[in-house]
Amino acid sequence: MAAPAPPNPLLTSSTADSSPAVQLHPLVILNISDYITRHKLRGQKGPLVGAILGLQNGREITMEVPFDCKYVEREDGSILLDEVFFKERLEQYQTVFKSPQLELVGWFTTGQPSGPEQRHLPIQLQLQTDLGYESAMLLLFHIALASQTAEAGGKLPLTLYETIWTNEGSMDIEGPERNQPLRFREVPHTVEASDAEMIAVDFVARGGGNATAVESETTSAETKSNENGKGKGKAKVEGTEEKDELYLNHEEEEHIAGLQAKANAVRMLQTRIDLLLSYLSSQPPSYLDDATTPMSAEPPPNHEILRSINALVARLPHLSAANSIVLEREIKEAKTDAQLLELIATLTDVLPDIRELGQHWAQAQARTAPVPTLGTLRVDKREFGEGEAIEAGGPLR
Amino acid sequence: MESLTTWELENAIGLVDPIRDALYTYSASQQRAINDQKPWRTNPHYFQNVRISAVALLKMVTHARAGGAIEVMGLMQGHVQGDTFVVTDAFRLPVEGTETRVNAQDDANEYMVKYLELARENNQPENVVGWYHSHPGYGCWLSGIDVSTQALQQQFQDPFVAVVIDPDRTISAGKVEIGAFRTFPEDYKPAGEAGTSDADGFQTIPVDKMQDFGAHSERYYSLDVSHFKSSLDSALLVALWNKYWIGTLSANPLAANRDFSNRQMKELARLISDAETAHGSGSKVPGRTLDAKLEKIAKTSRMVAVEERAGMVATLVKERVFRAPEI
Repeated sequence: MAAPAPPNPLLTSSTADSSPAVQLHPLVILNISDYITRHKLRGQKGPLVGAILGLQNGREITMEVPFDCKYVEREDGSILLDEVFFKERLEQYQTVFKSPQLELVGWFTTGQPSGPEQRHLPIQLQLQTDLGYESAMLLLFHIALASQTAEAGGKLPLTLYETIWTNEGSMDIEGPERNQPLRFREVPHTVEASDAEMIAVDFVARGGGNATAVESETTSAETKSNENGKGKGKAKVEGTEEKDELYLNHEEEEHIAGLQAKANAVRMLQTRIDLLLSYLSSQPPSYLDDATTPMSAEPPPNHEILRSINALVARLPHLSAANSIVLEREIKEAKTDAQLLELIATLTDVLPDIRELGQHWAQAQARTAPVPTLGTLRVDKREFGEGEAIEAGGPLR
Repeated sequence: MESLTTWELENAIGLVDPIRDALYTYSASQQRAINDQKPWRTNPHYFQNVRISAVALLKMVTHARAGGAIEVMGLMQGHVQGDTFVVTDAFRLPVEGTETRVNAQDDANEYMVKYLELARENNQPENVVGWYHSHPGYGCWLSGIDVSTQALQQQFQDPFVAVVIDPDRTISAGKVEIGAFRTFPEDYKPAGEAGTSDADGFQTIPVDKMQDFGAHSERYYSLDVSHFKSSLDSALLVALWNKYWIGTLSANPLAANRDFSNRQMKELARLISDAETAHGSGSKVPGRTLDAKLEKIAKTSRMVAVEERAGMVATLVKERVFRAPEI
């Protein structure tokens, strides 16, 4: 990647009037990952292709549910979707994703970070023309980048493309690609998760479990030795750790986990702000303030970034609630609700103890003062010792 | 020029770790051998663990949540390793509601057969190893119908496991509420305690479901549920966290859960008035039952309080971080 790569002839540089807003759901990403892992470990051959279902509302698109597809290889070596398979599978998925009814919005496969290649075209054309999904998008998963996601500042190793038909017979493209007036245009995306989806992703991300095989009497011995070393050993260590430390009950564990998630998120926010700050402080001083500063700074400031930082800062004051009194009240209400519940919990928590105390007291009373003094007293012998004596009143006074 | 080799070159990049990702492999012959041996026939407690892949878990939880207050169900594909069910994938079935079950509908059956056929065609040869369904708001356990469904499946489809997910509690507790169960043979009586005491030890079962719960809890036991992810998943999850931390910070569980916590409060009120009647003079309720009732009230209210507190913490954190100090 040292030399700047030649521009990808299949990509168009023309900017869209309005870029579609794509919301990508984690399930799509994890499903592709699962597919790749499975494909690789089972030594399967051939390309990985699949369809993506979602919702399309004008230029707003969600990508929610993916499924793997079967491919066919044509005589010239090009790859197409198996149409029978595709149609049946699509129908099956649409049967169970009815509310809201999901539609095909795109397809996924693997590819280079430089963009779509000739080999991706047949399926794209097949979807757009033969199958009639005129606006099908392409999600290109960059296997080559996947192992570096952590270093890449958390950029997902994938790119989304929409297609446009360039003018028939456009002259500015050389080579064999000229025959094909279909061009790809990169589309930005955001990652969106529903509430439950987010919890599930978080749950999966936090839990330590890797996919090491577990101990079993039936697996062959040779795979067993090293696998067990990892899986079981680790599980045991974790188990004992929990026991050794001060015992925390379930509620406390949950509380801690919740706090930790919040702390991580706040820390993340902090690093983002720090990043902006350090970027700003690395900017050359303004030549407007000091006449001696040369006008052309090296490197030149990136005005686009600076403008968006400015926009961000300008927006901040508007974020505070318009009606802070209402907000104040709502927070207070929520707070009292929560505190009231804590109180109820504390009260009900001691109920069994109080009852026990009552029983003991009644028993003790029964021994020390066996003869009631007042005729009005009503002590049910049968219930005596069951705590009901407290209700009867007399002897306790 | 465009041949399969380009694709395969790309796929050759080493992203998976054959040892760490071992659960993603599948050997049909090995599974067949296990199926022939049927080690679970002799020991009713044979299976102890369920390991669910990230994808399967995500699919099941979102499905359960999408169903709202309606029970939904689907099937799980996977394989067996020793005393463990390895669930690699899950899919929805086109049925809904309490009375519809795995064996209930021809439509669902047909759907399932077709689905698996297509999966096999596309290199996903795993068999169905279990079913999942949701219990919106009333915890993870098996009802009478669930027990008979599961018993039937174990008779004819074994190895088979039942997984239950509570989407409402998942949202309110902020973590996935999931349980896995297997039934005992008809003639088998478990020694000691009933099967539902899992790690958390306690579930609040709504009063209207209580009878159903108690009636069958001796007919099944629960398995340990854990999940697994591939090395690639882990790498992607790190990247994903960079995207969804905003959601973690901005979530308002108090508002999102209002319905559920109201329902829980109602439940608590009912429990308390129930105990009050039992405690009233002239009541014939034995003392021990009353003790249990009080214990249950204490636990329920504690649970509600914990969830409420978690919601409150979210709001407070947000307030502290984002509210401009008074100027």
